[in-house]
Amino acid sequence: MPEVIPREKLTPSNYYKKSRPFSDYTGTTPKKETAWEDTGSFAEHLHLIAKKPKTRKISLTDAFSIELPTFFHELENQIETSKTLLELSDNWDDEGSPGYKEETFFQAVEFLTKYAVWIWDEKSTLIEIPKILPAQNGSIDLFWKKEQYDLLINIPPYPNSIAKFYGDDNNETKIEGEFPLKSYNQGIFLCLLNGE
Amino acid sequence: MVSDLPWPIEKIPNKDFLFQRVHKNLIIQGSLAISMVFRNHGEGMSTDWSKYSTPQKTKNSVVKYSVYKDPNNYGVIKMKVKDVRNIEGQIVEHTPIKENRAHTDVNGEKNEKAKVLFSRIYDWSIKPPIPLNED
Repeated sequence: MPEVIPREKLTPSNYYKKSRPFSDYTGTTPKKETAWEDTGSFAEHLHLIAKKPKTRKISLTDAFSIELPTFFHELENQIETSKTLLELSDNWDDEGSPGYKEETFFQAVEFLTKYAVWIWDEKSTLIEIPKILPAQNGSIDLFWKKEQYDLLINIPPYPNSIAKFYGDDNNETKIEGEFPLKSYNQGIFLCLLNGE
Repeated sequence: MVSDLPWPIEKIPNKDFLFQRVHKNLIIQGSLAISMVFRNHGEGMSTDWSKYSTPQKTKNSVVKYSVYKDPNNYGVIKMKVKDVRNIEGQIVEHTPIKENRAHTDVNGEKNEKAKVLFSRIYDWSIKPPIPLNED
């Protein structure tokens, strides 16, 4: 039986053997027949490998985990650090404020990581890392307080899913409003977060 | 008609300051949890007018509201009255109470825009102790 070469193990030499299994196209005589899945064009395959980065699974709680590209070190560190939010119990501020649900924390982190990955895919840019902060009534803030802009996104307590935001560049650019966490125009925050 | 108020209500000039207590747990990784600090309790956000208070007095006065609250768990921030009034929708009103002549409310909705703008105008007068889970 011909050896099946999976897509991720294709190399330039064994790829070309697909179309000319018995030829000396690459200057060598193949020692055995090879067969593999239909991979499309080699250029398309290279593009797929380059575009899809390796990811690492990050456990947020026993019930929730996310996947992040392995080179998102800073974001991963911030998420790990912010898990302490879940240790805040009711009345943690001496003013009767409630603690934070795992589902709310996951909502916040899921939004942030998906957005960071989207900006990477679209603009090849790593977004600056926000602080992940406790907010009132069990909601969670993502707060970018940066030299060139401030942006606050309040993630509502689960099961609510309408987030509110305000941001400006201390000059003429301002954005303000609300959006559903499940589906929104991802371009909303580009004017501040794309690093340009 | 005699007023029931122990202290007269006064107009607060823009050049003066407001002091506000901040619980140590509202500092997260060195950052202020702005939504927790700049929010209304009832109608407005409680502060103390610098004419009748000092940062230390504001810090210590927490026991007037509850014997279970320890002043050592708090820091104090200050904001210029003029800067607060420059935030859209915010109204600074002297609202003295029997226990506290300095008591002042900052009324107005504390939405995301207001919180961001408040985050730009405060300074620490007394920093709170660092929480146990922070380095």
